[in-house]
Amino acid sequence: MQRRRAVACLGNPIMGDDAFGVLVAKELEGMAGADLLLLDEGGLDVAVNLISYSNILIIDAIESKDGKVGDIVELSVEALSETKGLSGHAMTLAEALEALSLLSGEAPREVRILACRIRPVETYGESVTPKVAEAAKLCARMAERWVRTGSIR
Amino acid sequence: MKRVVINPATRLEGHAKIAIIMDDRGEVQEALFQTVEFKGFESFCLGRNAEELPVITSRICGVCPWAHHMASLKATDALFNAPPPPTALKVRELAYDAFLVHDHSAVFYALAAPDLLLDPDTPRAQRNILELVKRIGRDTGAKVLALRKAASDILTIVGGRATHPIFGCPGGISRGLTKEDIAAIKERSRQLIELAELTNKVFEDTVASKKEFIDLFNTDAFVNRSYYASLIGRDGKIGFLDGDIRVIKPDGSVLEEFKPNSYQDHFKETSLPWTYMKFPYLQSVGWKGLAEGEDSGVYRVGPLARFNVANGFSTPRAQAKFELFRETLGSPAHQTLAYQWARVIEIIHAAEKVSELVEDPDLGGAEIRSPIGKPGEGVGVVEAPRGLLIHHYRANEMGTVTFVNLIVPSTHNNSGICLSVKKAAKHLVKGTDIPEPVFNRVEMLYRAYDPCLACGTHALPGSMPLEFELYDSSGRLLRSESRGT
Repeated sequence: MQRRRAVACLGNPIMGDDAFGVLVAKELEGMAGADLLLLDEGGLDVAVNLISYSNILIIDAIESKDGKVGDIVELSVEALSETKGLSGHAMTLAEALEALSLLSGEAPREVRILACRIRPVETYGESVTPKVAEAAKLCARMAERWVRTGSIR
Repeated sequence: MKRVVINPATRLEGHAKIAIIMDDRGEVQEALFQTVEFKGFESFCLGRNAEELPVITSRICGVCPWAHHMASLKATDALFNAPPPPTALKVRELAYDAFLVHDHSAVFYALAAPDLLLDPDTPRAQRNILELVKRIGRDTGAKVLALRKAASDILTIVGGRATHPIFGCPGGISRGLTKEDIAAIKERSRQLIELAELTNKVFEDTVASKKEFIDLFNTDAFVNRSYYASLIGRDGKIGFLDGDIRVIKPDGSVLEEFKPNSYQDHFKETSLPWTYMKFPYLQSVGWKGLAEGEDSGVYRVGPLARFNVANGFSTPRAQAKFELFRETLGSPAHQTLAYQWARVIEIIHAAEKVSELVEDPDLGGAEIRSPIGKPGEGVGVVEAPRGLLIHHYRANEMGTVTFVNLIVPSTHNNSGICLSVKKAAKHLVKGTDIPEPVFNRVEMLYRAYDPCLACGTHALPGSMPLEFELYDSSGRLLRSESRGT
């Protein structure tokens, strides 16, 4: 039975700007009105963790192609679906979301995706670009608004 | 000369490029598996306290963090001269077995099964877990997910969290199991057995019992006669956390057996100009290039290697499946696609071990950590799901890390993957007009290894994109096809 609202933050704290989701989760600690999930695993397990939620806000990072870092963009699930297809090693987020609908027998009523543009992740490190750190605070406020009102902006 | 390339489009969960070089007659002359590794993890660890490494290193990967955690624990146990008490070892082993169920089942259903259970000629866009679920039925798919959650639950009970464990520490574990924990694990252990049996039934009904699949396994294009290396457990059985390293020849006889901490005397690395990855080879045989056979020091690791090196499993159900595997494919089994079958059988063994360990009276013991000694040097070797994983550290008298060397399974298998791709391409690729099923089959072979290449990041879209490119002899691009981008 779908019953709950979740904010799912994806990220790795030792992969530079890929820690964006982790930073947002820290900002949201103690938030009421939704489950806060910090997901740091592969695609199939992302789906498993999201089963049973009716309204899902996913927060992740996306590598910037044009050098702009720190912007928060909203992505559609449909846009992500272009990434489907058997990869060498793991499921994509788009596949995970579709698997979620298929396997739970009931698609979530709402899936929204907020992503922060980050610099390419080329090595390990705990430092985050200042603009990305700033963006994490802004994104957390957007998530809180979504939890309260259902609207991001 | 023409060149086909399977190439990354972005830097996400890993990078892989397969370049197939063709001559002017349209015949494959060479095939190269290239990767761009994530560099810098070793230097990232330098200067930290060695006690931190088991937690830090588990962050290398979002798919096999428990393997890195365990290898790191073994290395830091040795570095601090702190052999863990029996309870700690058993809790670690139980958790690791639950992790193997968790990881192997994900690989099978998300990656292997679409290759094997769907028609190999199924278009790429439909070769995924979603089509698979439609094939095996939504109820079965949902059941698999529900049962697999039992493994995740056990990992959370033992490790504090399912993915990146924080429970192990040099000399033992930081928290013992309560009676309630053990009862909860026991209840879930039955679900692991159910998942293992269901998965093996799916595999046997749809693959192992089908002549066309066994013929495919045995196709010369998909067979590579190589050396194999793995840990060898008690009584010559497959062992994941303990034992010496044994290497067998392509004919199955033992080449050498040695202590894990002497790995540097046996595994050497060479570089080739077209890739960033190193090519490990057997020192005692020597590097003779990317070639099969006894004269070539190329070796492979992972589930297939474990099946070839050991004489079976210590648990009865897995042993029965092991015998069926050998009866069907021979020994050593050089069929690369058999990696997938071996993986599925290992799920049974891991599930049986969880059931066995959860009954062990030592499991709830109070002595969970040994005092740590003066820091020095330590090597930790485990059988990760994808094969031999080596962590090697040194620390100064303050416990500050001064040296880190990691050799991951996909590095060990680099030469094997190149060999497999090259041979398959030589057999299957004819001319420049390459039909999609040919690409599919080359990918099937590559995926049998489940190479895990620098998958520490999760930035969207979260996959290992591939790209095919076809070049002529002058280097002119004739064709490009993106996959997973």
